[in-house]
Amino acid sequence: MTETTRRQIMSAAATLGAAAAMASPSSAQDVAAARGGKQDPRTKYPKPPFTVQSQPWPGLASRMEPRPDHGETSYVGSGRLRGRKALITGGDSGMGRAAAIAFAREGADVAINYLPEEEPDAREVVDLIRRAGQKAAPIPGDIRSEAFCQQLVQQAVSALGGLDIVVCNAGRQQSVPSILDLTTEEFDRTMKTNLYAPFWIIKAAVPHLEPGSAIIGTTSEQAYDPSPDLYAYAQTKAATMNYIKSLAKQLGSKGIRVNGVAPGPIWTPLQISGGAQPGKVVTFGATAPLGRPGQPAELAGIYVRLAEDDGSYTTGNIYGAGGGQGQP
Amino acid sequence: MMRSAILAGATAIAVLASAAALAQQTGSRQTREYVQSAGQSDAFEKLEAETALTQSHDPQVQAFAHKMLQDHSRLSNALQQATAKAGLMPAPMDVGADQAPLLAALQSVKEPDFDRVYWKQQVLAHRSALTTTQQYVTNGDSPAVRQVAASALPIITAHLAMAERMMAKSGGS
Repeated sequence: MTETTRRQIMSAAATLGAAAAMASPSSAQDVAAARGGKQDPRTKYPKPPFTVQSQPWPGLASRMEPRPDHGETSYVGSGRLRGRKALITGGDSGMGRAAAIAFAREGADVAINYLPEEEPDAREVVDLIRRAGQKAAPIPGDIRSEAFCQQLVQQAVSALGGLDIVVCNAGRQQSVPSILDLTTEEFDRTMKTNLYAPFWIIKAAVPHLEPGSAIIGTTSEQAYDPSPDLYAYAQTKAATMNYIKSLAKQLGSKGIRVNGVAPGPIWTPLQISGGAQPGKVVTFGATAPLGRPGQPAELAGIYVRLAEDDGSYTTGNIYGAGGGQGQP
Repeated sequence: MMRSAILAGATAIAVLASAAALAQQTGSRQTREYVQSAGQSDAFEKLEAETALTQSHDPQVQAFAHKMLQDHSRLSNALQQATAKAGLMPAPMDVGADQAPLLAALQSVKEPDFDRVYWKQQVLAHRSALTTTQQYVTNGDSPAVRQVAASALPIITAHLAMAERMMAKSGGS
């Protein structure tokens, strides 16, 4: 299938999906069956080269070319998270958005946190959550502040009437080829977003989490095989992979599971807002054996798996979707 | 007498060492990043070409690979001269971490797949190099390096066009 045909089909599907959703908000999802079958993973989604593009941090998914697929028209739920209440940071775009859509379609109420500049993307996600028949709580704010992180959890708990899934997914990634050019300010920003915020959020959330609850952290293949220009970001992903394991050991006796998701190169605003060099963006995903970057939609099912009750023995584990690059 | 000779020697070494350290930091971040990227890109192209000359029997692949070897050797020499003239650190001659997996993938494949993979990689690598070079030509702040980038631009553009034609012919997309 050529690139143009694929795009035409995807945009036709989007129109159909949107039309169906508008006609009958939740029944479209109840009636539609999961697709099943199999597709060629090499051609299922856009391949490089991509057009040269960049946006100021943090960037909007809605302005990327092509738009990332977060499962808007494809994810079909089956009640796997019925009655659950989830908080997702970075829920406006990328994996966080894919998780938010999937969680809602599986029957969970969802609170999403995002930066104020990401409001246009967040609004789309809130709309999708509500069309799935679930409660949506948008809570914008910068998680680099401990006070805000505490507030965030408080607000999520009161908006949703409880909390039993916490997804620490928001991340700061900036490509800096030389350590000599890495400022302390940038290093600090990366640490605060990727490590301090999860600490503050999880700490505030634990008192609210009953046995059977799940915590999920977004790590990365960078934790295992870091790129030379991601010195700051990659070490936070290694630390994430590690905190997931120690926290799982700590919280096992409380019946709270803690797991991680390690994506390979995924087509998200992180990459076009300074997270990757322009030359890399143009050929993004080329080094993966599948020959393309992943789309956020391809990770949604992992977040569902790690959150759902059926995954009750999985804790302290990292599930990957790396396109073949070998980690985890 | 001995002591002051040793001191003079030590000072000379210190001066040389700090000159080397300074050279690492001269030039804007943008220039240093471009030089690194261009150097690694040339190294990648030369290694891909050498791989193709060894692992492919297709006459068109061989002809293209010869040209890549020639052109990218010339380009990397020009870059080295420009950096020396501008007092910058020389461009690296290693394949960057971003492209190393591509090279490894190419080296592990035999004909007929080899030719198809080579063309696809050549299109991608030249697109990437074109993007980076275009940006430096537009925004770069070192006149010597910008001149080298400007003269590389039509060469890379021509390479890309050739590779795209060959990729289409070989049935790739």
